[in-house]
Order: sequence, then structure tokens, then C-alpha cells
Amino acid sequence: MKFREAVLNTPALEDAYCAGLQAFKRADAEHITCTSPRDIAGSVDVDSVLCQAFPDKPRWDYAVGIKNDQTTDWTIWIEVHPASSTGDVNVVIAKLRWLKSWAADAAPDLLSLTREYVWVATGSVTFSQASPQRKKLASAGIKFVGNRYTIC
Amino acid sequence: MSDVTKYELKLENIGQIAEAKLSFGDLTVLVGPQATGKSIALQLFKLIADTGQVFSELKRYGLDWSKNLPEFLDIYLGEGMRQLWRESQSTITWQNKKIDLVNLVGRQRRIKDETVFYIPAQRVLSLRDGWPRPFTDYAPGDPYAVREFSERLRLLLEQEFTATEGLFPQERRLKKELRELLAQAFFPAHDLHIARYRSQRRLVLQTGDSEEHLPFMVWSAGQREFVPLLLGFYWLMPPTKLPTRQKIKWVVIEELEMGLHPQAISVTMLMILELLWRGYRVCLSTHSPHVLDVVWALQKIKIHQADARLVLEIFGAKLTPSMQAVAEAALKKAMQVYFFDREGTAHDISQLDPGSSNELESGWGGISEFSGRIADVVSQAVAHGAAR
Repeated sequence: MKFREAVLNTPALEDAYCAGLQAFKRADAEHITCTSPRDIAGSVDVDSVLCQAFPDKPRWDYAVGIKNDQTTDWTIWIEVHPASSTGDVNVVIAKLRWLKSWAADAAPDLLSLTREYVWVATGSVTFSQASPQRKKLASAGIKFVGNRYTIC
Repeated sequence: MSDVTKYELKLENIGQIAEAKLSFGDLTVLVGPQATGKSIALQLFKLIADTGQVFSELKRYGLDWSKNLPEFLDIYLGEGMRQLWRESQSTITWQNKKIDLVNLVGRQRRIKDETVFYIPAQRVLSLRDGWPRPFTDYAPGDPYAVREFSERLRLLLEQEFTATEGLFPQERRLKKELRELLAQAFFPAHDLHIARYRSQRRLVLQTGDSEEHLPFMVWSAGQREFVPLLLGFYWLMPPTKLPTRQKIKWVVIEELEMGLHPQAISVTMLMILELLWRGYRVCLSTHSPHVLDVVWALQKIKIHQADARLVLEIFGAKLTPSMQAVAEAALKKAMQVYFFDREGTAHDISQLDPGSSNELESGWGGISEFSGRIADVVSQAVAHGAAR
């Protein structure tokens, strides 16, 4: 399945599909590098779309489509969030849990295309690559990339 | 307060080193894969700082290099090391002044006081059968740093510990708080003693008042590695009101973590802070993420002007006035970290920013890169498994 098709199959997100990386807010886009824009299959600002319906929930930020082959794309779920305290690790893990539980019912097609869940840090980072926090994130399935993520 | 004088050493085309420009802080840490020139850089630093003393020591033990640089390098750095120096290509610059090494080894030097105390990676070799080996016990091709360190330990034990007595713990040596942490980390069940075996004095481990001794060869690997380091600390921290030994200004410790459990590395790093508090400048080479963890944490505590007590929390050390002073001093020190890469270049990665897009810096020169890669692989496995 293609990323755009999966988004259009998701009633909550169908009007939020953007070409390229246009879904990203300007401040967040500064943390993303793309060396091959042609491989981007679109993006969705999940947080902005869901904030009215779920104002008190720990919402995830973005879904990005990456071309895989002629018929299928990948979804990369990206959270742009501070890493200024080890407590942020728990916050982002809670966001992922909520994303998965929401998407299981509301966005199963997008979820099925998942390649990775990525946390891009804003500001200074307070845990090292070898830290238990980093391992905790990995155990939750979250890839921590520091202040910059090269998407493709 | 940190001495603001900059000490800069530049090495070009020496052995594996293509270019290493090092600006030494109060604490300087060198990291990088094996055989990238860290030890060579530190030994050359010692040579430049202590030329007169090195020459005088070598001559005292009958070593002669006939004013010839290759011969000298084989004696000083060790057999076969003459090949490091490439005529007309290799250069050493200290404090922006080029050092003519050929001329340097060809001249008589006025004997000066030793300013650099060097603790080599091969320190375990300095104790044989539980007693330090004299300088002359080594082969002529063994590195000077190993022979000199060994001789220094021998002098320490023969001049300052003349009886059969307890060596650790000892009230006159080291702060009580440090002694307690060292005892937990290294000697939980035994004390370190000087005992007599037939006519020979030797270091042993002993339980309480028991007459039973454990000789050097049955100690744990960590204890065998640590005891030479402990004796080095004893040398640097004399039992007098003077905080430092003679004219020593610099302490170089190669691979401080060798053979040690992470908890023991942590305590040893606290000893480094003690050295800094006493006014020494310290240079370390390391492969341990724990060493860089400490440097990183100190920098963060300093930048955020957080309470110095947090420094003691890192080590699980007691908050006492004397330890608070050690912690406060650590936060005033300038710290530099350099990564020696396989291509022969030394990179300044002092920020140690885990969020840096520069992988050399975020992966701390490869030291935590593997852990990072492991975490990435596990996160992929978990994410894929969940999606399936």
C-alpha cells in the first residue's frame, strides 16, 4: 500500500495529507534533513489534526511516507520533542503508547506501513548514547536521533 | 581557580599521527581506537616538558643514544619506535614554537625538576611478585615511561614505607571519604599490607589480624591493575600539608579503566577530581564511556550552574566540607576531549553533545557509538515486531 492511500483511508487524517515534507511546522522542519526529496511520499501533521478531538492526550507529532517500491511505501513516525530531562523519555514513550492504541483502530493502514518511530530532540540532550534511558527508548521501539534526523 | 594559561602541542607526521593539535585543559582526555597515536602524543608531551630530567635519568642508568635521534626514540618510546619519526616530515610544535628534536637529543640539557608524572598503561608490569621492579630490571628496549614509573613506586615503598605495615587503608594517606569508597570498590574483604616473605618484602592482601596472606598472583585482575595506580596516587598525594609532590604539575594516566569494574572506574575518577583539587593538571587516555560520562556530567553541571553537591552524587560520595571543596574545584576546571581517528587526525570533541549531528561528537569518538547502534537495532526490531 502507498502512504497517500493509507492516509486517505484514515478518516481523521484524510484532509491533512501534504506533499513532501510540507506538513512540518517551520521550527520542527529545521531538525529534518532530506537529501532525496523524490523519495518522500508525503507527510501528515498528526498532532495538529488530532488536538481538537484529543486535547488532553499525549499526541504524536508527524507521519512521513517514504517510497519503498512501485507498490508500497513506509511510514516513519516522527516526534520532535525536547530531551532536556530524563523525564522526557517517559513522556515520549507515553506518546508512542497512545499513538499505537489510537492508530490500531483509527489508522490501521498507516500503522501497518510503519518502518520506525523516531524522536528528534530540540535543545540540548541530557542522556548519552550508552545511557539506560537510550536503552529504555529502544526497548519501547523508539529510535533516538539527537537534534537532527536525515530522513532519506 | 583554573589556570588560564593555554598549553598547546602540535604533532605532525609522527607514526600514525598525521596532525594532532592539542590544547591542554586542566583535565584533558584522549580517546580513539587502538594504535592511533594517543600514547605517542602523551609520551612526546612528557619528553618536551621534562627533557632534562628524562636525559639525566637515562644517563644515570647507563643508557646512551650517542646523540642520535633514532637511537634515542628506541630507548625512550621502546624498541622499534625509531620508525615513527620521518626525517624532514615529522614536526613537534610546543607553545607555537617548533621543537628541533634532532638537535634536542644531540645536546646536553640542564637537569630540571620533573614536572610530568606518567602512569603508563602497562603499569601492572611494574609489580613482579608483589614488589616494584627497579629501572634496571627492564630490558633496554622497554619504554621509558614503564621503567620510570616502576622505579618511582620502588622508591616510594623503600623510602616512605620502611616497615612491614598496612598500606591501605592508612590514615595518613588520602581523605577518609576516598578511602572508604576505594575500600568498597577494591578491597571489600582485605587490607593491603607490606609483609615479609623469607627475606623479601612484598605486597599482600590480608584479612583483619589474620596471619594468612594473599600474594600478588592470586589477587583479582582488578586489584592487580589498581594497586600500581594506588601507589601512583600515594606518590602524588604525599602525607604532608603540601597538596602536591615536589615540582610535579602534570599527571598523565593511560587507560585508567584497565581491568576495572565500572564502579571502580567511578571511584578512580573521583581520585582524578582529587588530583585536580590539589592543583595538578591531568591528562587521560581512555576507552571507557564512564570516563567521558563523568566529563560530560561535570560540563553540564557547570553550564547549568547547578549545585556542586551533584558532583558528589555522581560518585555516591559523602557530602563533607572537604569533598564539597573537591566538587567545587572540579566545576572550575577547563576540560578538553580529543578523538584520534584512524586517518591520523585528532578532533576536538570537548562538547560531548549527544545530540550533535557530528557522529564523532555524539558517539564520543566511537566510545558510545556501539551502544547507540545497538539501541537503534533494538528499536527497529521492536517497531517492526509491533507493526507486523
